[in-house]
Amino acid sequence: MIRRLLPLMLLAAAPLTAQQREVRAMRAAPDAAIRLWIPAGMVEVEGWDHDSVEVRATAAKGVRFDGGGSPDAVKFALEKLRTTDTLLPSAQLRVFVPRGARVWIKSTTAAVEVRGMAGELDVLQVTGRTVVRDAGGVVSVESIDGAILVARPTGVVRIRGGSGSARVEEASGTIDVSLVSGNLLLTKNTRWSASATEDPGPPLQGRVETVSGKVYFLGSLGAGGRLEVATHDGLVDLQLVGVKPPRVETAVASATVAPALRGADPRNGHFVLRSFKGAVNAAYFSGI
Amino acid sequence: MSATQSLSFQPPRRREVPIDVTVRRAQHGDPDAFARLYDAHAPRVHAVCLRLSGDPAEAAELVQDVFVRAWERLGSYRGEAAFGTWLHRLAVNVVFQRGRAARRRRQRVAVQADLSHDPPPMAAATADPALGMDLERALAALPELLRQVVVLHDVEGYQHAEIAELIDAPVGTCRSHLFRARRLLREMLS
Amino acid sequence: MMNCDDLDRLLADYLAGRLDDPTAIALEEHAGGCAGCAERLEASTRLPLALPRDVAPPAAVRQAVLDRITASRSPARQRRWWVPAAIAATLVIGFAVTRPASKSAMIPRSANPAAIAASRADGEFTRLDAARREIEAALRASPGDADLEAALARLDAQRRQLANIVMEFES
Repeated sequence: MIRRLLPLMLLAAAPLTAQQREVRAMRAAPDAAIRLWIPAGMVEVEGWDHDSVEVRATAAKGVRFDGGGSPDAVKFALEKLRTTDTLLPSAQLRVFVPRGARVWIKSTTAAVEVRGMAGELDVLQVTGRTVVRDAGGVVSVESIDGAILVARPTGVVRIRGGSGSARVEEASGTIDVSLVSGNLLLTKNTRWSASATEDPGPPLQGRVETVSGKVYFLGSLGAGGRLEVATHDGLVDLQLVGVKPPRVETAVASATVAPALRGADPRNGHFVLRSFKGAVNAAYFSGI
Repeated sequence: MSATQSLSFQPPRRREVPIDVTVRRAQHGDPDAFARLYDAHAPRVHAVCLRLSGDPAEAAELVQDVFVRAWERLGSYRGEAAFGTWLHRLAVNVVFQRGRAARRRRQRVAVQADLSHDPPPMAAATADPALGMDLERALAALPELLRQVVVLHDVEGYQHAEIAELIDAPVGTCRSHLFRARRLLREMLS
Repeated sequence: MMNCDDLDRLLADYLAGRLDDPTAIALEEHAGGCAGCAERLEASTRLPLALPRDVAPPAAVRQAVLDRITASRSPARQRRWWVPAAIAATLVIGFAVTRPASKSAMIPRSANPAAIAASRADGEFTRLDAARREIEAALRASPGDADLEAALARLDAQRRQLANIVMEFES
């Protein structure tokens, strides 16, 4: 037990006091809970196939880097050495975590980039950008006005945002996106010319809601996919490509929907669009 | 201590006021406590909203928004000012945010050349001849921007720099607005 | 373009209301940009604006506020991220007087994460309020409309979600 705790104690006792690089490592369970509080700067998190956590940090002068925990629950945070400092504590962090870890990141203005996670990811942001690539598990990003990109997620994606824009590329699981004035761009199966022969992978399922944010979709949901979009007055623009047209149903004031989409078979993909007073466009380009 | 350090700027230490027990209760989610806060502060908040908007119906909606926002933000109140002051600031911010949103909407629709030709909206609603009402009516009849500037400066005691930030204009413009507002008021009241 | 001498010459007429509108405006514009003249004008045009401090709002507003807050989440934090027992309780994260690194124009000078979060969310709350009002008006025109009720519920849920994010920064 002592041996297990020793590295943690060292970790907690050795703050960064000057601009310098630091590398710290500790053992961690494959599904450890890891919490990071990085107010400013940048944090890159990468899932790896080791049962350990490694942190490579470059912190600004006047910032202390603190952390500790057990192999099941690890926590790192930046704090100011002097409370009179007028800047948010800032650092550049690279963090390697077990692929199946449950990672929670809180940031005010820091850029957050995450790659290769299969566990759970929870990002809480004010204004920094968040990029998540190739996540397999549950991805949740909450941000007030930071931009969000989630690329190639295969599990569940949940986005809650205010004015920041969000982009979800090639999702093949479930998405649940709620934005106020931020715009959303969704792309899926955009290599449409090959879609007749190539296995498109699992379809996209989910729902999207905005108040005034515009919702753009490009590509196709895939057979069996379904997307519900609800907005107050944001434009909804679908550029649908694929061999077979998906069904598009609308409950909106003004809609321009390609005729082929109105009566199409919902098994090819099914869009249900609701808008209080926004416009809807749905165009369809069949594969040649 | 070196000379540089002794000259370095230190923000004045804020004196925090003890947080009232009703506020504390409301912060913990007690709606009854919040209702008591409403009762204590709504008339002040309403007066501000009424004078800045010049429209009783809009003022009633603004009061709602201010208190809903206050409820959502109670957690951030740390006693850095009296609760009434905090709420007052919040009210002014809500009024101006809404004004900005409305201006954007108007710009999109591109209508109405000049607001100053709108009929004074409050004139009909307040038939009470009590003292001060002439002044309230005259204020309501001012063009929106001029009304806001004169209310903030002469009634609420704001500095030009603060007002300039709220109305998103240079301090000089803000001063000329004040002079023009006062002149129009003098003309209406004489 | 008016100068300080012009203002000197015209001030008495200005105060007596004898100037035509364009001249009065020109004088006001000069005084706006000239500290000395602004001070003179400010002192000599002061109005006795004695207005009641309080004006009671309509009674219906109270109920509307209470209905809306009971529908929304309580301000007490419901999600507590920082309590897992296994974590060493040695961290104190202080952000007394902080300034964000970027986009400072929108952010209060003595910003802390809570203040930044709140100021960034303000415009979105305003949008949500405006949208809600439109749906409410539509509901008054067609009461019981299921689509509108659903839209209203969606907006309230979005409002709570945003408020939750803001509140996460208030700890």
